[in-house]
Amino acid sequence: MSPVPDDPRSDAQLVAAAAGGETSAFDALFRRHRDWTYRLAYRFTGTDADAWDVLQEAFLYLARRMPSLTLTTSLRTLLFPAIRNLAIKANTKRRKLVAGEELLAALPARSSDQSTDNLLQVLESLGLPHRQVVILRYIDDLSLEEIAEVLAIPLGTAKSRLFHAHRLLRDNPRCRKYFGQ
Amino acid sequence: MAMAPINDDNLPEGLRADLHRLTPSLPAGIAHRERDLLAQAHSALNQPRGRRTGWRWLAAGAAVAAMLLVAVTASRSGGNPAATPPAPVAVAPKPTIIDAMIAARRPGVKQPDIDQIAMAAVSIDSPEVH
Repeated sequence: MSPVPDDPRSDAQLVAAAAGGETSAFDALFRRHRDWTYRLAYRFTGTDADAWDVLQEAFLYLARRMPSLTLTTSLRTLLFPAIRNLAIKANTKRRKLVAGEELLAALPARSSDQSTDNLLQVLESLGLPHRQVVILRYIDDLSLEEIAEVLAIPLGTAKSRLFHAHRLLRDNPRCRKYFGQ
Repeated sequence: MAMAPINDDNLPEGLRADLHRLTPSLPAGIAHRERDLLAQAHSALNQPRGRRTGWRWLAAGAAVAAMLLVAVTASRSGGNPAATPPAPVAVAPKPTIIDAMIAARRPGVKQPDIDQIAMAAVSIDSPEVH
């Protein structure tokens, strides 16, 4: 099956069209954000099955809200708390109790790959505030504005945390190969 | 210390790519799961709209009922819908001279003389005397 080209309309335009009953606009939103949603859900839950369930529930939630929805912020900012809450629900079913704050900085499961394992240890060595912004920015692909909104902190604080996180990564001996030291 | 501007270029591309690879992408071969999900989403998408249509029908019904009420009121008030129908007033038939004479000739009633009849007729017919 050939991939469907992305709709040129913005998220806000697609939401408005979907709210008016245009199902193809909803499909375009789904295609645009499904991979991001799955990756985030996978990070929160750690399994493919739970990640898919969370993705499914997140888009059904979006569809149910759609008729009365006007997008005033980015769609990811809207989806993020829904995905997090659905993941907490899924984790609770599996008796994996992780608090919301920690979940934001939750790391994927360890792997047998040495390089990946090394990077996970680097992230674990960061304090929670710095780990959160690095993960949200470089693993979850959120913009600084979205990070500020998700963490409910001022934009300047998000920028400051990311700046210090960069310095900590650069100074970490395990990251030497990346910084050409 | 002045803070340097935050720029994604500050982080080496190799590190960014490795961080991004920490979570897997959506697996391939899930077309059927996506189809099922979108079918459910379309159904959910249309459900509230149905409810909204129901409200529209209700509003339209109320409007028709209001129009019918206005039409009935108008027909009762002689074509002027703004006018309220006059309340029925019990008006006694205006007595005539004949009525006065018949009343005067009832059995057991003392026969009035011609002057009394004339006075009765004047008091009934004349607008000046009431």
